Amino acid sequence: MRVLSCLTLTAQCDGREVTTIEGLSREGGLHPVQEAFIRHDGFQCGYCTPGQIMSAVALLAEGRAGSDEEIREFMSGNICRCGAYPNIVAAIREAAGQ
Amino acid sequence: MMQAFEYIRPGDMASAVALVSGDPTAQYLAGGTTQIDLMLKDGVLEPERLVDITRLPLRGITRDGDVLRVGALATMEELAADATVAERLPFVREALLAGASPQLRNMATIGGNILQRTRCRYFRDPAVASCNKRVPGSGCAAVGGAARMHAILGASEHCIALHASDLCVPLVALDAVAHIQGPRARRSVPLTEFYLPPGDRPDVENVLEHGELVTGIEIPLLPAGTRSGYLKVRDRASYEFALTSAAVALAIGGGVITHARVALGGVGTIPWRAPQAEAVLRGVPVDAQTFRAAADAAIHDPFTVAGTAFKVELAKRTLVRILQTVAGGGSS
Repeated sequence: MRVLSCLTLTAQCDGREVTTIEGLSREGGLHPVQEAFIRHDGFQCGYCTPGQIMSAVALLAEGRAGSDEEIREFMSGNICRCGAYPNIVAAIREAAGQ
Repeated sequence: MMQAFEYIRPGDMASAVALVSGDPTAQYLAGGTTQIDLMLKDGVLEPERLVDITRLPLRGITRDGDVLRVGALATMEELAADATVAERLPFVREALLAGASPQLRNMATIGGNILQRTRCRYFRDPAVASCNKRVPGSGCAAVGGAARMHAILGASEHCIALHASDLCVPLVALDAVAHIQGPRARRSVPLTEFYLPPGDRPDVENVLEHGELVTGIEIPLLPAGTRSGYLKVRDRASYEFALTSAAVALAIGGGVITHARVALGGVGTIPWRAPQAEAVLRGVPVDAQTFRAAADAAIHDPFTVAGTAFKVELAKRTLVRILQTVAGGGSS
């Protein structure tokens, strides 16, 4: 379940499992969504990228990547000020097809 | 500079209520999506003690006959995913999914949603001296300032801060009821009586006494055959607060409206039920003139400033559009 770290007190996570971007890699390799973001150049400055990728991983688990329109709606909470949106959508679309 | 605060997570509701009731500087903490912002980022709220209620058993969503009982800690996503909501309260689901973002809806609770604070930028900036809601008697910077995301109904020169909830719009239309636990007694208050129009005391927003805890809400289901819809108009397609919105439920028999519920969002200092519009709609044939007359009745006696004057016509057209959609069978 995706949540916003900037609105979560650490104390509230006591006893809970928390996955951050660092926890996505598998045996040292990148997560498929991370690989798709690289392939599609889904970022420019990189500031929003951890949040975009964590949200995208959750989006796939929620089954909400059925169309570009659906991806845009359910990724709308992640703002990218560089405007990498077309490539972010392309990366997620590809990851959803895998 | 952030003020230090104590964090406590009591194991039961009685302890939680006692902890907040007994300490004027204490506040409850649930989803935190408004509160943590206002504390840690904006410096508007300065509780010395946060009483975390998130692990209390107030999460369930259960149907009881023609009523849905929703625990205060059920999240927006949980309520949107509920099968009864999809079937019997479709405009509640539409309003939920039109609000915030998935990650916020995973955190934000229903109790917190009805108690959310205004997005008025002058309220949220302690560097602004004039805000009757934040500092009673200090004036209202928004009235002469950059107002856009502000209220035109229930507003006055004392305060034009908007209640920005989407969910609350269908909830007031449905006569939902809040259940409240105090240090000594429980009580239940309809949401249409829960919110207090600002008047000359914008700092007092609802009927809750300090320490009273909203434990859940009760939503009457729409009768079978009633159609409903929620329309939200905003500056971008998603993840944005409403400029105007409207929640409508209609029952129609033989081309005549037999039952109507109407509420407006994006325009009220409190979630805005429009009984005048309901009275216009009830018992008359479905037609464009009726809908426009209902919209004119709904937006009566607005208080506008330069930045909000456009909302009068936009709110009317929003209501007309969703009435047409629902009456035409185009919505849920």
